[in-house]
Amino acid sequence: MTHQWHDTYHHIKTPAHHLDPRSKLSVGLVFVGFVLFTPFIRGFQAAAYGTLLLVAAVAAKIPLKDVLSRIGAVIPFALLMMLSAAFSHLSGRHLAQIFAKSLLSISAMALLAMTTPFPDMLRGLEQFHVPKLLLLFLAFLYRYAAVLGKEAIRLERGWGARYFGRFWARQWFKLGHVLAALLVRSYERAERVYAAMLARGFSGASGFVHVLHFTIWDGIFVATSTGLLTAVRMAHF
Amino acid sequence: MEPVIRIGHLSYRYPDGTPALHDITLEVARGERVAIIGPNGAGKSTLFFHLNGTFRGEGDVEILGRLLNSKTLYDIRRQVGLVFQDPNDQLFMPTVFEDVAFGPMNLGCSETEVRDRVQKALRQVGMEGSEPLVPHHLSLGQRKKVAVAAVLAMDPEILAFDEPSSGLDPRSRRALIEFLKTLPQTQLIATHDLDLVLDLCQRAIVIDRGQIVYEGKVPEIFADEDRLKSYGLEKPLSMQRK
Repeated sequence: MTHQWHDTYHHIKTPAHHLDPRSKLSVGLVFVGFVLFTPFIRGFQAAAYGTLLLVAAVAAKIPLKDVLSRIGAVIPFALLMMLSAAFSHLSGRHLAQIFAKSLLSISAMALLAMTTPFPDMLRGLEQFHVPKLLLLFLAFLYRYAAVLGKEAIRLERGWGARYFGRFWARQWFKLGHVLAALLVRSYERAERVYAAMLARGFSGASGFVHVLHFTIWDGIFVATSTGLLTAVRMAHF
Repeated sequence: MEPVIRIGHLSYRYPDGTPALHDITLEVARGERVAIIGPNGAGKSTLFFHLNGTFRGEGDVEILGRLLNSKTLYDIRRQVGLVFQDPNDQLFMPTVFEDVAFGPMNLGCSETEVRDRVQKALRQVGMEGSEPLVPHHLSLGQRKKVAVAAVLAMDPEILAFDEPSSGLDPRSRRALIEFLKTLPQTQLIATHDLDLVLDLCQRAIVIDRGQIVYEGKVPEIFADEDRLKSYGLEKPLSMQRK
């Protein structure tokens, strides 16, 4: 039995977890839109956006340190964006804006992922008319990340069982062999999976059965969140 | 009895030229449970892939009286349920529900019918209530059951199991055998588990190096120990103890 890191908080039962994924996706995208299209985020606006995320995390009972660790994982990418902008004519304030916007957007998406099971997210995306083939790719990515992860661990164990702590420089070449083996195994598995799909009548694209329920609470959540975000966006101090 | 599977002079080579099947001819009657036994790499799984047209070799494959060709491929595919050896190859959707629903949705069933079929199939294998679960959170035995449910949801007339008992603990294996006995469909079972064959199948076909080398009633085949050994097999443990 394997539990993936992105499944960690899905067993928690809070109102945030019970919301329809479409409402959470909408609010997440609206949040990112507001952050990105605010020409210049002032200090109080950044604080207000951050507070909204914090409130959402507390309401979903997600430990703050875990949200921070996920944000920490993507900070290098935000820094890379900043770095690439540093070679342009942009000033230090603009670089800080890029960093703040990417950090807020990524935090919102991390929170969305921590409160919405991935299969539900896919169902929500299908309702937003995201192409079915793309959804199928995402579904496979989710399903087989665990399988390939286990395969990688087995290969690593096989390597570790016969490595006794010497000639470490040579191990980099061995790592290449391990990765090549993983690639070949993945390719072979992909062929078997495709055969399994054909055996069950696959002929190009397959959708999801609709199991989502948009309730009055989702409506209230979307309306309140949009109202608050608009207030933050429009506020002048 | 009327044959539901009829294979005539089937030969197949892999794309790299390696011969996999050679001149396979066999018939399976409706409701029969037939074991396909043979050493590793004998061609058992390859033969199964011909039953639903995933592989197309030279020779004739007739399913339910219809010759398998491009025109009949999809109709035949819905009648032949393949259960793979590794359930990870078969359970590719993110939840149990979506996976079992995959076949019926491709058959064009309405959403209500899809739900009914999923519930019925999961109940049949004793996995009701597992609909929202993610396949990689299940044990191997549970994944095997869901893989069977995924095929049963398509309501096929023929079931082909590739190594159904591999990797199962004794209790799960016993439960699987008892479950297979309850299924009314024609069954083909490729396996190394000769005790399972003894318990479940009336007839066995021995394949070695892509050819049928021996065919007959199960007790008769297992009585000929020398011949079994020559094909890399041995008597079931339960018979050795007697």
